[in-house]
Amino acid sequence: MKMDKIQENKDNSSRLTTEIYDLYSPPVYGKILSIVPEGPIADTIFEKVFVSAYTNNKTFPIRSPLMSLIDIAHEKTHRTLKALEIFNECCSGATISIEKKSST
Amino acid sequence: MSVLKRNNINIIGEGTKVLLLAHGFGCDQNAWNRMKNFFTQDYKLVLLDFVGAGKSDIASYNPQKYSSLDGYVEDIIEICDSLALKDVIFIGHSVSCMIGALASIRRTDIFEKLIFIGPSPCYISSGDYNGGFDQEAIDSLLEVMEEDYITWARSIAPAIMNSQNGNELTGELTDSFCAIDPVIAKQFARVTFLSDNRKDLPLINVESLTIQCSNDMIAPLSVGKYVHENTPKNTLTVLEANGHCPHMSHPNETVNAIFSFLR
Repeated sequence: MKMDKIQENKDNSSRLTTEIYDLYSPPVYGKILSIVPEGPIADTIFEKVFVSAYTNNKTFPIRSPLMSLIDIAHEKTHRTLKALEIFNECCSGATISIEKKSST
Repeated sequence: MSVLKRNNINIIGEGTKVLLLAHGFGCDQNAWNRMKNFFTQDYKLVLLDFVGAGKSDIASYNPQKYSSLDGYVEDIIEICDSLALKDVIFIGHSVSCMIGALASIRRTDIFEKLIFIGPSPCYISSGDYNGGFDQEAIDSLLEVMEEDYITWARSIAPAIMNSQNGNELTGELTDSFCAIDPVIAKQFARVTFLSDNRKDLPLINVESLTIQCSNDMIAPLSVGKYVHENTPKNTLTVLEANGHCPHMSHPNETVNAIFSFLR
């Protein structure tokens, strides 16, 4: 993920700095990978973690930002898994064929 | 576009008594593949795909019409009228249970009995009501469905998700293909999981059966009991089967419950 995406709505007083992103990206991504495999799901959650931290700037802690980011990553990953579990249970694990049709 | 083509109506069976089978969210009429042969000798089965599922006419999808369950209720009634169906036994799975219930309330002349498989009048818990989910879980589901959720769901091993019977079904249901349009399914999910039809249950005036699995994460036992306690003339049968789709995973047990109710 590019830092630019996070900074689309940049506020000069942001507590989530480029330095924090560079410093803590690896452990945050590692936390996500401890729960889901590497791939699009992990990448999307990773992006959402930093977007969430950025958009909730006022509550993002200046001290111990790593723990905060890890907590967000943990929560978002498990919520995503739960959502996929709900979806799969509805479909009962049956094979789904995605027909390429135009939708209204 | 005829109603029958719109909803890909297929009619099978040698009997005269009509069973109208309506699939749930994320499925199409192939969901009944493992169950339908038990009924073809004695009943006429009317199978349908809701618009956006299976081989329905996707061009007929109207976001405004299908912004609530009413659009689907309207379709069920139109199907029955087109085929001049009377004294119908409606079998619905999951969200279709409430669709059938609402149709029976609106048109008391069409339906004789309702059979609910894994029904839920409301998926979100509130107050004393335990719907199985909190608002946050449903919000997460809808958020994930903004992504490439079908690919995601297929890519995650059932063991990681603690799926109740995904392993078994994924292995066994190689002949079952449920097709859904991903875009329409997103709105159907929103309509399904944000619906609240608890106030409609007391208005159901026909005899009904609630088939409840013993361990169903989508519609837990508390929901089945709620449906039973708030629906007049309702019978509750709790299966030993796990999961949300016993008609697919445990067809024999499900069919036995239905036969016991119909006899």
